[in-house]
Parts: sequence; structure tokens; C-alpha cells
Amino acid sequence: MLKIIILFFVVFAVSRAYLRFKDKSLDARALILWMALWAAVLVLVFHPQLSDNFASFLGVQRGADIAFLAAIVILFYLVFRLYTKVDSVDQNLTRLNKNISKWVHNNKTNGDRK
Amino acid sequence: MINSGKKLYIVIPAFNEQKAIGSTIQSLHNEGYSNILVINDGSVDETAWAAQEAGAEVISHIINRGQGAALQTGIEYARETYEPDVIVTFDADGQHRPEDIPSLIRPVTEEGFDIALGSRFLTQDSNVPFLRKIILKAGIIFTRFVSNIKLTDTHNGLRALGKKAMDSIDIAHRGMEHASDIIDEISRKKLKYMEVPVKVIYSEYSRQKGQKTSGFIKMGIKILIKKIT
Repeated sequence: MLKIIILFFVVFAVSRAYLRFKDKSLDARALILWMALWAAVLVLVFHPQLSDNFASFLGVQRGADIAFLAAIVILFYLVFRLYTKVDSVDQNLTRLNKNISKWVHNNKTNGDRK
Repeated sequence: MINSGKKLYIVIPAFNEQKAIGSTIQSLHNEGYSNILVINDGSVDETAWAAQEAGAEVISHIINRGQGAALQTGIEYARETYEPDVIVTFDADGQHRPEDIPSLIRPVTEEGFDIALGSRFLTQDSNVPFLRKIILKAGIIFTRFVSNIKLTDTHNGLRALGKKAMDSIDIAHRGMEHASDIIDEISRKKLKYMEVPVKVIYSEYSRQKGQKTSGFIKMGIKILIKKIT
């Protein structure tokens, strides 16, 4: 049952990523990255023994542990990406605010001089 | 103009300072300073009106962006419009004394320094509250570690910027962290700096308006994150 729920969720997530790619809010590289990530989730859900093989290859005992560690790393990376994105938007907003204020002030003082 | 024939501009960032901005500007006028530029940082009270009434030129941010952003707007506008020899940054809440300006600008106008920074810890006159003193001292150690620059007061808003400093300093943090940005820029751009003793007046009003203790912790975290991104 859990496998079917995860399958539906993955199909939903992939379709969302594809739609975002279609409307150009996601580039091809990011789409491939998301597809690969969800494909890996499906492989691990339907063939859990593969994760154990991979875990022993990396020197970790259980496959579940490696999945957990990978999830933490990916989440950290996503938070980092979000932070830099938000910071860049914030800086643009500050710059916009500054330029509008200067423009309004210049127009006002030029008007007063006339 | 000041005695040395140099053109001086005073930039005051202000957010909801309706009560204090008028008397701050008046005290500057009384000492003979007339080129005063107030950056009204999206205040919701009558700060802009009060500053204008007191005789200052006022630029208003359409939304509140923080003291660092207001200073950047003020320095940039003054530099582009009036081409001053010195820009002094001054707090709106009455913490700074206009009498300290001559000794603050002297290193820039006469001694070849790029920037002069006010320090409340080089004088015994400042009545710095105990808790604030501890936080500020921690800030000094933090800045020494992060920016690799040795100062006695890292969060003093009273500064004098010469031409090289006003042209090269880029304030990346829009909030109170801008003080550390300026120090970083001094280190990165190898600006010649000097600290000058200034008195900081802690009134009931300035304590209410001033930075909260938790704000300093947040500020440190923001600076560290910015360093690694």
C-alpha cells in the first residue's frame, strides 16, 4: 500500500516538475536533476535491497541510513539554494527602492527648481 | 563648507524618528552645518515632515529597508548630486553630538585618512549601559575574528567618509549589520582608517529606539551566513 502511495506521489511530483519546465520556470538541467532524484526514490522503494548494497559499498550498515543521510544533505542544499535566492531578491528590492526614491526626489526637486 | 574649505554633507538615516529628528537637525544647524540630508526609511509617522520643517533635504524610501539601505541611498545621492569632500553619517535619535564632528573629520580633511570612525570607548564620557557595553565588546571580538580588523567600537554610527571611502564602500546588508559591512569594506579595499573618540548619549528615548539585545545575536548569525554564501 505504501509503495502505491509513494508511486502516486512521485508521479504527481514529476508531473509538477514537467509543467514547470513547460512554462519555462524550470530549466532542462533542473528537470533532469528532479527526474533522476524521483527515479532514485522509485528504485529504492521497489528494490530496497539495492539500497543495502549501496550502503555497504559506502561503508554504512543499513540502506535506510544512507537514504536518511542523503535526505538531510539534499534538504540542506535546498535550504541553502532558497536562502541565496531570497537574499538576491531582497537585494534587488533594496536597489529598486533606492532608485525609485532617488528618481522621485530628483523629479520633485527639478520640478521645484522650474 | 567647513573651515578648511572642504564641502561637507551630513547623512542621517531615520525611521519613525518624528520626536527626535527636528532637534537633531536643529543641533547641527546651531553648530553651523547646513548640508543635511535625511533618508526617511519608510517611516509611518511624520519623520519626513519634521525633518523638512527643520530645514533638511529629505529623500523618502517608499518602504522600510533598514539603516544600511538608508545609508547607502544617502551616501550615493550626496556623492552623485553634490560631490562633497566629506560625508558624515549621523544618528537621528540624538545619540551623537555635533561638537564631535570637527575632530571626526580632521583625519579625513587634513591627515590623509580615507575614513574616520567614531569610538565611544576611547573616551570616558559615554554613559554606556552595562549590558550594552558587554554586547558591544563581544561585537568587537566578533568583528576582529570575521573582518580581521582591530577596532575599539564597531557599531558606532558616527563616521566621516572621504572621497575614496564614499566611492568604494558598498553596503551589502540593509539592516543594522551594515556596520560590519563598512568595516569589512575597509579591510577588503585597504582603506586608511582612524578611530576618533566621540561621546554617545544614552537617553531614555535612544534606549527605547536602539537595537535590542536579541537583535545583536541575529545580526551575528546573518553576518556569518552572508560570509559563507
